Amino acid sequence: MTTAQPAITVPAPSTAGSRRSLDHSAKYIFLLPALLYLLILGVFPLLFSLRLVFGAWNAGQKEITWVGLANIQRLLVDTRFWDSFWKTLAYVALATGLELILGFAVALALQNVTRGKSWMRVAFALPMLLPPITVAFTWKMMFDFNRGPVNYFFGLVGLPPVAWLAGKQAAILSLVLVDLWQWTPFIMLAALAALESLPVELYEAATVDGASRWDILKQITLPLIQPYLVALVLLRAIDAFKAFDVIYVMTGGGPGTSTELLTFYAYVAGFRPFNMGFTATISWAILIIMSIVFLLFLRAFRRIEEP
Amino acid sequence: MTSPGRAARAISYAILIFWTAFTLFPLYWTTITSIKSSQTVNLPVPTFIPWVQFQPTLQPFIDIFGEGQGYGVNGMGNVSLFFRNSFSAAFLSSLIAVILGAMAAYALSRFRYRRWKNNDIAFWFISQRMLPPIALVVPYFILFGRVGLLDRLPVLIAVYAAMNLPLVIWLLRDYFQDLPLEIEEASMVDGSSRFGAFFRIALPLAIPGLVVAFLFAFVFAWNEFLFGLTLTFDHAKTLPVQLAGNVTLRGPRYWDIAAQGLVVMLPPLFIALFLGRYIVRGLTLGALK
Repeated sequence: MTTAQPAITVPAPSTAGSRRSLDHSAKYIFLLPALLYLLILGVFPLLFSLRLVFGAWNAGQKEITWVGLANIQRLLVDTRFWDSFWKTLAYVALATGLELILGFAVALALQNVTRGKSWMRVAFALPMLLPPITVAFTWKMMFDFNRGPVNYFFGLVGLPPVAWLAGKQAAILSLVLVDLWQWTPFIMLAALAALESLPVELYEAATVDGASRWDILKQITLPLIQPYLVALVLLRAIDAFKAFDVIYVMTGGGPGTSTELLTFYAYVAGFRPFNMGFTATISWAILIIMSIVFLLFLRAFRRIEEP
Repeated sequence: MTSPGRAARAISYAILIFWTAFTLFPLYWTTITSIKSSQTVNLPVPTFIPWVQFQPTLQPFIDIFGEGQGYGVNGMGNVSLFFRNSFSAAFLSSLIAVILGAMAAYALSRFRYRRWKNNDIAFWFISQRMLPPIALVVPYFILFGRVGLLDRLPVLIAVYAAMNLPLVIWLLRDYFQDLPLEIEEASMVDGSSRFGAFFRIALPLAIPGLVVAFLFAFVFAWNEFLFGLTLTFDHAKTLPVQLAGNVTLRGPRYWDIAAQGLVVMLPPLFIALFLGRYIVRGLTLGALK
């Protein structure tokens, strides 16, 4: 390639050939580093942890001992795991469901206004990029029983103070509320972007035909926007399954084990009594559940990309 | 969209005012708590307005950057060190992710792969982003432990780069696809190699996209907690891990926690303001443009 190009418009066949072969290798040279990187730091550790599902490992131990199906058997009869499993499902369903409703409502509100819209968009997006640990502490302070502003406001309107983080149900609901605060904007702003991409002509035609606002929402907006909402909710659900940081700071899984969602339980089971095999087993259970949600998401996503 | 009626507009503004207050008040509360003295925080009734209801102080910030002076065994630790750790880990891992990611994204947008289709490769990458991090925690802990690499910053950098690589590839693939092909083709007709076309033409044109991808990667690495918690203890500890330690070490010294929290929050907050409308596009993996 270092030789000067001949001064003709059609390149000589040999040059074209060598370029094609270089391009051919470029194809792999560009892609392989990223691919190998993720194989080494993503796929290989996963396979290693699959080995742990059938093994036991303790700190200081060199090799993994083979225990067969013991971890899986233990998991199947572990009431703490199943308790955690159902609580996680409830948490994910409640959080994503409320985020869908609230997010869509605020998106419609944003669409209705013009003044202040652009800065509200940015302000509403802020919580999503904040470190979950700081979000957790912020809300821990807000929820403080004696000194927190939430109970203070409750007092102002005549409501009794709530033990936000100390009650079994209240603690889970507090976690949901924090998730709402941080992640409703995800549905909201994405739904707004989708709303704004809808063709104006449809609305004009419907208005000419005398359709009411409610009819327009039900007959035109919702059906058009539904595939986006499905994809967004599934994406949100995948992230909600990973909840860990906020629980770690706000409740530590408590009171008792009432806020021990799956990821947190997997961590506690592995790093407190140091039973890595069992943690790997729970992790694989989570992985399987999330793969199912991810496959659903892919189907929804492809429907948007290739209608 | 049809112009909304007066009632619809009034309801809309009511909803938006509520959500603005709901979003911003907790951030305001953290900010004012960070300039309260311990006496102010422990008053029986919460105070909201500095200078009017309480006298603000910078003592919490002096405390947290004072290298743990005055706290004895349960000291604050060296916040400056943890800040440097967090910054290096986030910065260097994002750099790696953007370099490897730009190459892969370019490949996916310019070449056609026959055995696996381009889309399948792209979806394989994004499936890596969906992995629950807890599934990697145990193997990382054991494997890095075996080779004596726990509590070392390079490990955190490598792990964060892997964590962000899929997102970077996904964002940049979109970006490269939207770049005009003609200039690259012209340069290759003029004798430039594919690598020359990439480094001298495509990459400079993609700088805005590279910056956005880098900032996203930076924020996610900066915010990361679970890997930091399990792979570092002391020397390589990051800010979120240090901050979380406040739960177990001491009672709720909210004024110090708020000051530390603010320090951890500020870089992502500035980046969020800078990213503006890109945030939604980045978080939805470019599904919405």
